[in-house]
Amino acid sequence: MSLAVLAGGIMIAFGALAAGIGNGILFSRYLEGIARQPEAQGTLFGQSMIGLGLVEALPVISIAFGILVLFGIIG
Amino acid sequence: MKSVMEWFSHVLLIITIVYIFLFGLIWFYEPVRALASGFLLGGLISLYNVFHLAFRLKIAGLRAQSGARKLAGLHMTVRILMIVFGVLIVYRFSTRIDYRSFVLSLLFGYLMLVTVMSYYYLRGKGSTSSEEGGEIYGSDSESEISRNDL
Repeated sequence: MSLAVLAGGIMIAFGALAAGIGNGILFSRYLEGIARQPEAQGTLFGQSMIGLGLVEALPVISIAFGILVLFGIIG
Repeated sequence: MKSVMEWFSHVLLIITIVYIFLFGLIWFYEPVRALASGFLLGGLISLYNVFHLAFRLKIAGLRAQSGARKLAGLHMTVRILMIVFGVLIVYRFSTRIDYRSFVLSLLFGYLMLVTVMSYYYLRGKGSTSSEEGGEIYGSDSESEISRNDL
C-alpha cells in the first residue's frame, strides 16, 4: 500500500469525522433552541446556517482532495 | 415580511443563475474550457449542497416545532456522495475538466452562504420581528422563558 493511498484515506476519514462531530453539536443546539422557543426558528435558522457552512466547508475540500489523491490524480 | 428562509433561497437562486450564466459564457472560450467546466461542476455541486443543507435544516426545524416523535436529520451523506459524484466525473473526464478549479469552486457555495447570511444580519434584517415572537432568549420582561432556563 503506497503512502498516497494512506494519506487519501486519512484525509477522507478525518474530514468526515470532524464534519460529523461539528454538525452534530450545532444541529443538536439548533433543535434544542427550537424545542425551547419555537418562535425563534427564523433567527436560529440563519445563525445555524452560518455555523454549518463554516463547519462543513473544510471537510468538503478535504474529502474532494482525499478522493483525488486516492485515484492518483494528485500526488 | 419575508422569512429568512425564503429570502435566503431567493438570493441563492439569483446567485446560482448568475454563476451558471457567467461560467457558461466563459465555457465558449476554447483555451479555458476545461477550467470553466471545473468551476461550473464544482460550483453547482457546492450550491446544491447549500440548498440541500438549508432545506434539511428547515424540515428538521418544522418537525421539532410540530412535536413529532421522529426527528429529521441533516442527511450529510447525501452531500458527501454528491462530492464523490463530482470527483468521479472529474476522474472520468480528466482531460475536459480541470480538477484544480473543481476543488477550488467546491468552496464557492459555502463562502456564499456565510457572506449572504452575514449580510442579512449586518443589515439589521436579522432582528426579531413581531411575528417571530418579539423577544428571544429571555429577557427581563414578561417572556415565558427566562435567561436562566437556557
